[in-house]
Amino acid sequence: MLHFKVCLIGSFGVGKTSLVKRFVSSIYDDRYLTTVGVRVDRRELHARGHEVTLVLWDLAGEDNFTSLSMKHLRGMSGYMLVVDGTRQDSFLTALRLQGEVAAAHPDARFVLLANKSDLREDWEISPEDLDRLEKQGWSAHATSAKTGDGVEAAFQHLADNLVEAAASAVQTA
Amino acid sequence: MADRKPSSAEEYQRLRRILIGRDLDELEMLRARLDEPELRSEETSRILPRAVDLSANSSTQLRRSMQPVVEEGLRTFGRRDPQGFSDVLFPVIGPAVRKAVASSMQALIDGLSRTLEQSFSLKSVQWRLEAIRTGKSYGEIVLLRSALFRVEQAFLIHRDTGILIEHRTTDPAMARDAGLVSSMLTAIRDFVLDSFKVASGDELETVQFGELSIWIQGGPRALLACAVRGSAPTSLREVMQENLERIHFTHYEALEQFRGDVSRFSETRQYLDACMLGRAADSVRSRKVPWKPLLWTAALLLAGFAYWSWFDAQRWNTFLSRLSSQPGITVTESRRSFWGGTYRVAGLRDPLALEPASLLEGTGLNPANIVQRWDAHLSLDPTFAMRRALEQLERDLSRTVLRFETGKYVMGNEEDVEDAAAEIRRYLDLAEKTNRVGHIAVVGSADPLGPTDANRELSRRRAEWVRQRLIQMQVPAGALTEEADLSRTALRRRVTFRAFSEPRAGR
Repeated sequence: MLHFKVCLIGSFGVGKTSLVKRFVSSIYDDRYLTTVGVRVDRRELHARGHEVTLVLWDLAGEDNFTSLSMKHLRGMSGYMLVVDGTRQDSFLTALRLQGEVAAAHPDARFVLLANKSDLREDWEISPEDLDRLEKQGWSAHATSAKTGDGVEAAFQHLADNLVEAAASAVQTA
Repeated sequence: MADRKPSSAEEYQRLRRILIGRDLDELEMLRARLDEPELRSEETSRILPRAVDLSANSSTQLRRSMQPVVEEGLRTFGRRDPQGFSDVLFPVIGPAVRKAVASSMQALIDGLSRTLEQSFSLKSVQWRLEAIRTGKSYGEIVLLRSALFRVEQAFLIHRDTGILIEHRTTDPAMARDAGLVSSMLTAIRDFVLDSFKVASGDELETVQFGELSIWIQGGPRALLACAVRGSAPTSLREVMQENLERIHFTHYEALEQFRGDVSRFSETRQYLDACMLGRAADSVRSRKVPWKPLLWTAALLLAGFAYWSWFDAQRWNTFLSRLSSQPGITVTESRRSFWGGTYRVAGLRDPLALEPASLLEGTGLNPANIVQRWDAHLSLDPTFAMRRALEQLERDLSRTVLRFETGKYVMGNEEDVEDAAAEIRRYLDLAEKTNRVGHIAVVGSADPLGPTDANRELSRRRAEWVRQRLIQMQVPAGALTEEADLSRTALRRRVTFRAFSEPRAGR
């Protein structure tokens, strides 16, 4: 049984909480987000032949990391960088946040989720933008928390990635 | 001479080469080895462990030489990496500190044991049996069993990730969401540490919700959290600490290299189970009577009442003793109400004795709260006997009358004056004996015939004459005053006396 801490990072209103709700059934109220700054959910799945539990830390949406939200990232195995496809600014914020997070957590695996794919005609992000990132080795997924499109696949992708990382870490240790 | 004969030195060298030529080569090689640091290091490294072993067994010299080096090394390590240093010490320092604390705790538990040994009940017998069975002291068992608490869940949480490594619970329904609880607890702990200024190294130790509390014990790599219902004794924390230390001791590497695989920690269950202490939940959930505050309040009230009662009795007794010391007053009955504040006193009182109420001054007692009943009696006290004689003489004197003829202010027969003088002297004498000063007013009167002015003059002269006569008859002049009585009822040709006394000044 493998347990991984996964954080959801991104601007306010990009749909992090909605994505989590798509993926899990929660016991905690949304109020935790505004009070403690985090809400924890969990989802069990299979990845690379292992039973895996993703412990999802849904962080309150912020464009800048405070010391507290930085502390919440501690010990995470991976994270999801969530952007709102209809907002160019959320994309730029995500790129900046990625730089900060990767510097502090170089071993953490991540995926980029371009959310609100159901509103594709309003998108401010071009497919070329995502392609460019893919070329840099990023894993980018178009998702819709509303219809559920791409959500499972994105989480599964991250879970597979985490199991691989854990296995290689054990081998090198 | 072409063929020079070789010198003796050269001869010697040749001889030497013939005799020990191979040995010389070896000697040269040995010298080269000694001069080559790389080679020497390699050789020394091979023999060093053996040399250290031999030296350690045969003498203390090596230990003494190494000591400063090791000490300095430890000091540097501690300074440069305090966290690493404390991680190394953690499994050791806990037991050491606890050992010291345990010995002082032992004294406390022993004292408790002695106290509890006196109480005998079915439960105490059970606990005593458990103490014998487990080898713990009776007091320790009582601490763990008698307090109304129960550890309902125990969480072992990986410190950095907040991931639940192992979990035990009394209620299987709670197990499902334990992973979320542990993460949320970690988040809340971070939130508290970040939101409030706390000293570095301080930990969130307890979270309290009414009768449910979460006790958190922190270690370098993992946290142990217990959900406790009811009020647990502080010894629970020692139990938690001890078991967390054991977990660190047995699983330190697994914790350090934790990559999400929790299956490596199944052996930690026994340590969590050791923390699942306390009694069944039913008895814990029942509403507790707050005995402690109640007892304190009762004790305070009792102490307050005791003090008030003592204070009230004190002032009442002051009054009673003042009464008893008064001549002419005999207290036959006195009572103070149970709650204090109201009183009753009864007895005998000579009319000449002091007014009892005047003795209340300075006692703080309210006269309105005192019921008094005094029966009159004549005291045989000598003071009162003389006072009564004095009053009798005053009455006698007031009945003494010296009569004058019409228009005269001199009496022909002075016998009556002499009698009066003797009586007055006796009066003044007695007054002095009772510590009083006697006064005699000599009152002259005249009949209504004739002009008023003349009558007034006649009255005054009659009084004056009698006064002069009395002085001549050894009555002290200071005790005598004269006055003319012009009231209609006194219109007679006479002189009368009014005797009165007052306490001697400065008594």
